Amino acid sequence: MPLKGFIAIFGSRRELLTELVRRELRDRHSGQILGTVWAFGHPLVLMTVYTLLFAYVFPARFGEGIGIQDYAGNVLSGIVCWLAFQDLLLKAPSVLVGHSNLVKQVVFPIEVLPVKTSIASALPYSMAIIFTVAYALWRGHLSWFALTLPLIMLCQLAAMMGAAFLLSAAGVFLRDLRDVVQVFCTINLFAQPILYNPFSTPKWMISLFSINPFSYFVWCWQDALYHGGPAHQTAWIFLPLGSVTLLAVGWIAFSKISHWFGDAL
Amino acid sequence: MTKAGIAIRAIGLCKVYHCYKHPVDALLELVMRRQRHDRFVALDTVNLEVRQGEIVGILGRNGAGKSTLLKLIAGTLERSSGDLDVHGRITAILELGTGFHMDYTGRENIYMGGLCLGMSRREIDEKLEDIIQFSELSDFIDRPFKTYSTGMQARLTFSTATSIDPDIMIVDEALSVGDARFQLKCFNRLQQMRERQTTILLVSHDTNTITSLCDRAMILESGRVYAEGNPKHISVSYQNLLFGSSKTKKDMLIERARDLKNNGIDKDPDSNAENAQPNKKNSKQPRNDKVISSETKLRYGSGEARLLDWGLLNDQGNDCNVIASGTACRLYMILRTMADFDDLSVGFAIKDRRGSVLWGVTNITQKYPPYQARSGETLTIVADCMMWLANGDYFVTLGAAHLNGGDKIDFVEDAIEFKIIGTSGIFTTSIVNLQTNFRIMDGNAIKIKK
Repeated sequence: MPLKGFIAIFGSRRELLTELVRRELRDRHSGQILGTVWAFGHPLVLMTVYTLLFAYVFPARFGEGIGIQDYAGNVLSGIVCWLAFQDLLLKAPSVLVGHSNLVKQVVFPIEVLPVKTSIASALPYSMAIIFTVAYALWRGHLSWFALTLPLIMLCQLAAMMGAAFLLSAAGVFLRDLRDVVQVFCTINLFAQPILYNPFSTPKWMISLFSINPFSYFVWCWQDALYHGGPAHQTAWIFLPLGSVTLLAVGWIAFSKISHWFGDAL
Repeated sequence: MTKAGIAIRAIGLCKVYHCYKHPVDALLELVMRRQRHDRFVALDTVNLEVRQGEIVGILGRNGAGKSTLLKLIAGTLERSSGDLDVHGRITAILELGTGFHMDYTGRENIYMGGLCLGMSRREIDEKLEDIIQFSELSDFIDRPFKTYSTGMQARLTFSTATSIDPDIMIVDEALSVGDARFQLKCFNRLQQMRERQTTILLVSHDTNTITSLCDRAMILESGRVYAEGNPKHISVSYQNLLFGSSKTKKDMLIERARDLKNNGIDKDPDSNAENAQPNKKNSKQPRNDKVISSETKLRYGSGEARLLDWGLLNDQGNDCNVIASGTACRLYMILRTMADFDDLSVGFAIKDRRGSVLWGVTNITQKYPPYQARSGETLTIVADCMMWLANGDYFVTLGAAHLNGGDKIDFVEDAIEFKIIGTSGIFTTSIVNLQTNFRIMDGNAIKIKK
């Protein structure tokens, strides 16, 4: 029964979902001259800055790291995943609160909202992915292993939806959640194996990474776009299992407490 | 679906809001297991049964629980206790422009609203022209929604929401913002929907809307069903509820207690059948001394005095229900006191079909002092009038009350129903008959005559 409701989001509610995603991307920059260009341009600018920073500025300062050939490539492949996730985490707690007029309206299927936010957060980063793939191609370390990308993306999208279900539902009752998440995101950037040279990271840092679930996503992305092979095997087991579990838990929790949204908003 | 099946059935429906002074209290309550909120009972054991294809109007003052009831039925709020069965697809217009985005054009909003209501893009494409046409906004449809006036927003909302064929339609005061012509169009649309066996729940403050559109009406007061039945009678008692002395729930309870007491002790020999009020539980009615013909008439009061008889006499001195306009008539009532009074106020009021008070008189307005009476007295109260009302149906409400505080002693709503005939040569919509002598003269006749 709960599964049926979830499938309906992509079945009978598909048109509503696409319309909502389109709106979100448009509304985010509504009234601006470049409009939707910003939605996709922003990640692109960000990626360019990271590339310049880690390809030229940092190596020049610290000298080329031990054992790493392409610092920027490693950073780029990891950061794509986190940027998309962060974008969602920051928005998810206020999704339902922000759409309270829809939540209070009868026929509106509110479960579409977290899904919409996940997709709308992920979509602009398709540009960043293309950028990273192009970069890897240019530096010559793109391998056939990059074909696992669709799988990784699918898993990450599932995880993002799960997180969106949980955070949006909790955000209705705990309005502070938005700020908590904001602080978390700032810190979490440094608690993942993104900005570090994998060959000169201290031991305790690696154990910290391994208790951070976000690291496993980063590792998979790095394997696909930088290492060109399954360098982190545990991550490849964790990725599908963790994502599907998060999605299932998120969805069940969301549908269980969705009755009470009307009272709290 | 069965033809005259039940569309909505609510039994003992309750809704209690938990009010937290601070958001963190909700969390603390969960952790500490100690109550940290105030309870507000918005709906208190409401029973409601609506058949398919019925239009039911809901009246009630602000905060009486109307919107809460609609939201429970619509499913946006969770009930606290009681049973609720709703059969069929629901569409609700609870607020203006729900799902509509201010920055988007009317056309885009129709798509969005339609998708929100569960239509597919193709369905909307098919209905788009109808929707625009019905809303009469074709000149504005490609302008942003925010540039619309409130009435225009309401028109687009209504057109979109009614374009799908729901089984149950809930309208919360959305009609009241449109202009008169559009309201009429809405009524027609709702009538058409009813013919297709759509069940409609309608909240309105306009009793006229309720009487002209609904099959049945109910009044909510302090979260309870105060009265239920024929829309016309309900509208009248709603007017009284609004403009009469305010009755809180406590007063209603006191009245009920008194009723019970009275039933126990004094049984009048000429007391007749209990007045069959549809909602027995909440009706605050003592038994009657005079047979009240129509079952939906309302009678209430403390019972410290009782009206034994009342009526309308024509210029021949006969009881009658038809009076010729321009003739003398007499309203009377006979009151027996059961307690001592030093501030008795008695009077009559005439209302039209919509429940508007056209005329009223009491001993106070007639510059009499408050009447003093001892227990056991029988008083006859008479108002002799010239009947200057125009053709139509009218109702007389009469009763006695305390001057101080306005507490009702015995009141009968619409006790007398009468018809005025005999006006001719004036608008049929006239309310009063000004005994007109109409002429057309040559030249500046007025000046010459002066």
